[in-house]
Amino acid sequence: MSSSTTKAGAVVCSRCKIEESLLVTRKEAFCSSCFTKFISNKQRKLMSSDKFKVKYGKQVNEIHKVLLCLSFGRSSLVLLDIIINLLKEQRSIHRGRQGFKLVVIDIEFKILNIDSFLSGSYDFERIKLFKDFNSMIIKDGSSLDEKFPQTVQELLSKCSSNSSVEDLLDIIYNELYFNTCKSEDCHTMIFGHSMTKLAVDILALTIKGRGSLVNQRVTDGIHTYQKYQVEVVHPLRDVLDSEIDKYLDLNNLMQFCDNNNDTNTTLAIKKLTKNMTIGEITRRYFDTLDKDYSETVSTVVKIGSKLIDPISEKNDEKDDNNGIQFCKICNCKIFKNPQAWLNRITVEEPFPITNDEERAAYEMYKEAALQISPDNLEEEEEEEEEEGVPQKEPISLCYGCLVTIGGVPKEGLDWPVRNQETQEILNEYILTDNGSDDDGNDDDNDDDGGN
Amino acid sequence: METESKSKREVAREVAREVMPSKILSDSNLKVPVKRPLKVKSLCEVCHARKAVMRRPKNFSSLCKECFYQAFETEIHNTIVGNKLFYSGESVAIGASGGKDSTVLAYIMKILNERYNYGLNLVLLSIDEGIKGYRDDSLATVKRNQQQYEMPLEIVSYKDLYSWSMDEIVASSGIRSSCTYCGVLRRQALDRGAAKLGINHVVTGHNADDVAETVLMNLLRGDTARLENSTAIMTSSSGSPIKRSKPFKYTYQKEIVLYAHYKKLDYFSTECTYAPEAFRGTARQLLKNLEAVRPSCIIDIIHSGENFKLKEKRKRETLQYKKNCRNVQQIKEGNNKNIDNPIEVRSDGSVSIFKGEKKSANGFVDGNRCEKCGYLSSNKICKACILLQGLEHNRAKVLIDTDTSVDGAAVLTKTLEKLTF
Ligand SMILES: [Zn+2]
Ligand SMILES: [Zn+2]
Ligand SMILES: [Zn+2]
Ligand SMILES: [Zn+2]
Repeated sequence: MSSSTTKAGAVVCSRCKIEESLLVTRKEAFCSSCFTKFISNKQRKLMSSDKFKVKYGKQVNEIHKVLLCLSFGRSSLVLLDIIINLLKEQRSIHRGRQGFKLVVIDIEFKILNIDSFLSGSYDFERIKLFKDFNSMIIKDGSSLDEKFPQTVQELLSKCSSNSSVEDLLDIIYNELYFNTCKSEDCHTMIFGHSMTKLAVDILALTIKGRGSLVNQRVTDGIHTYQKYQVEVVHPLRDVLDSEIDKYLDLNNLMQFCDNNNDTNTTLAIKKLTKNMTIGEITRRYFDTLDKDYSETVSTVVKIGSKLIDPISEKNDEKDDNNGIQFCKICNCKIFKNPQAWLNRITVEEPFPITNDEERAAYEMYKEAALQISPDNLEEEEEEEEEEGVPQKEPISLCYGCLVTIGGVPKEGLDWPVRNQETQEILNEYILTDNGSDDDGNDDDNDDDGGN
Repeated sequence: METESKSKREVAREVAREVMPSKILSDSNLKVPVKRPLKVKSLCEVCHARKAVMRRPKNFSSLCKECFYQAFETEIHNTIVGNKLFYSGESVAIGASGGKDSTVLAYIMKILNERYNYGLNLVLLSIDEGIKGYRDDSLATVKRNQQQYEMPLEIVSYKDLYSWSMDEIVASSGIRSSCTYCGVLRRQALDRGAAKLGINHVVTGHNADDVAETVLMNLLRGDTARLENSTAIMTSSSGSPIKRSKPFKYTYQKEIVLYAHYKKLDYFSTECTYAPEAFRGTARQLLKNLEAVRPSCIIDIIHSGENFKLKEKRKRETLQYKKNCRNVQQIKEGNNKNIDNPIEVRSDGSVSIFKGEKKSANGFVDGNRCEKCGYLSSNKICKACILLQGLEHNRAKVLIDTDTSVDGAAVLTKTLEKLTF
């Protein structure tokens, strides 16, 4: 992945054979404009379907909306640049017509209408994340008032582990992206992920116990979100991180990058391993991999893209729920009962008490436990009846979320829970340390007390 | 805010966190004797009756020795029963190296067999690779284990099986590639030794860390032939009648160490002295870093591995079959340098992982025997013989020119990494 420049020798660009080459990538010398074209073509190849082309005649009004998920990280900025150039080109060739309408969502939860960007007048819209992830668009978004139940920061501040924060944030972004697609009626969603980023994601999902999600997260294709169909495309999936950096450099875009976006070196010196998140450790792994293994990134993306849902496993399991359950946190399909799997391999049976000394110690413990956790069993039972949903497991979580919630201590975590079908809030749950328990704490969910 | 639905562990944590001794003493309602032998917060999180002496590497819970033993043993028992690893009356050979994994395995197999009436005939099977200073001590350990656990012991030597000792192999091939040899030869040696005893089932001490590492490796190598089976608990070499299983599939390396320590088991502390192949080393380091951040990552990765499913299986298998045929052909022609479909011979000694019915689908030819040694093999010539052939080749070279022997070894290692078995 070395892209050494060869300025000194004034090597000629291998594409146009005219300009001086400024970089070498994939063993080919490029000038600035040929390189930009080379990268842009990768996007065009993956977005070559007719729905992105300029339409005439009857189809003129059937203009398609595309949501671009902008993080102001390097690769999403490159994608934005490429798409804007594409739209500009379409406009100039087709007298102001565009093949599609671009909607850009930025992780700070505001929407930028790109048409206004092109026409020179900016039209920002802010959206606020509700408890149930129903986003709301606030025009002239000046006031993000306090009446909303909780902010994402408040939610995440309860996590004790950085990796859990990272994981939950990832879920929130993903949910929000799809939600915005639906509310903005975008039928295509594009991500700026480079090949390197995809490889990191595949490995990190594996490490987080979310192996069954790899397929859904890294492959392109139709995704169904609450009965709404979205085509997800990663137009830069064939572009390496080193090429992303070159593109930014050559097109003077580095200035717009988010400072938080770590370069290899800053990440390496930034933290001790124990303070890093799983995502960061995984990224560092790829960043520091020896040149001998430079093909690892593409290898991982290739095999990751071949993964499919482990559906067939379902038949072997004797789960008697009709159809597949969905995780109450990340909304993914649950193929195997994760709690049962965990219980089998993590035993917590006390070894019997064998003498008086141990009995005394246990009595002492019981006294103390009673002080802290007064018995409110009845209350809990009421809660379950109230719910009216027949369920054996009080709450269904996928394995990955079970693990992540394990990093949420003490008082638990209020997580917005959505009914799969109606998108209404059925209830509030508190997820305790081990994640399997429905605490039924109804103290702070009076405002949205189910249906 | 707490309810009964909280797990016992959670409540125990609450207690540990919030009940300071002074708090209990000042509370007149509490009938706790003023003179206590133990503080509540120092109690085991599971039984609440004994002093916690350790933190479980798997989930960081504080446990007493007894609860740790109970958890450790029961988890392995659950793994054995849940996966139906054995049948009553089965003879099982325990691959015994004298190292901690296999010593703990022998001990655990013995006590579980007795406690739960598995009805197994257990035999210790040990391989003498012929590594001076390493094997001498570890074999002595195995011999003591034989006495301690009252199990029959069978020792098979490389010299007997291959007419090469490991020291001779290292001298000829260089230390860097030795783990490749170690893996292939030891695996076959275990199978051959078991066959010699009329035993069809070998259990090995491969633990959760090894399995997680294998999942990562198969992903990083893009090994579509292996990925789905990365976590298989029971495996067999293609064509081999010998089953292999890993009762420690879900058992953390660190817990094996702790168990051996507390039980004061007699083991030889050095495992294989030869370093892993470099790329595997990077995955091992990654896993270490991850475990420091999230201890559950080892079983998390295994969970992911168990849920990996690849598409277009049929096509792939046909392709695989064709490649295998070609490889066999190439090996036959003595041209095994440019074999495509590279599949590494892994250094942990486990090689191919295909279950019975999948074997034919993957294009393995069952029931074939190695043309040189007669050992069951899917290829015309078995792995061990290919390795040994290379060594013989090297030995000839060494006699002529010492300098080329190093190159020769490196070339051979490269070839080996690409062989299909
Ligand atoms: Zn050019
Ligand atoms: Zn989930
Ligand atoms: Zn205990
Ligand atoms: Zn042979």
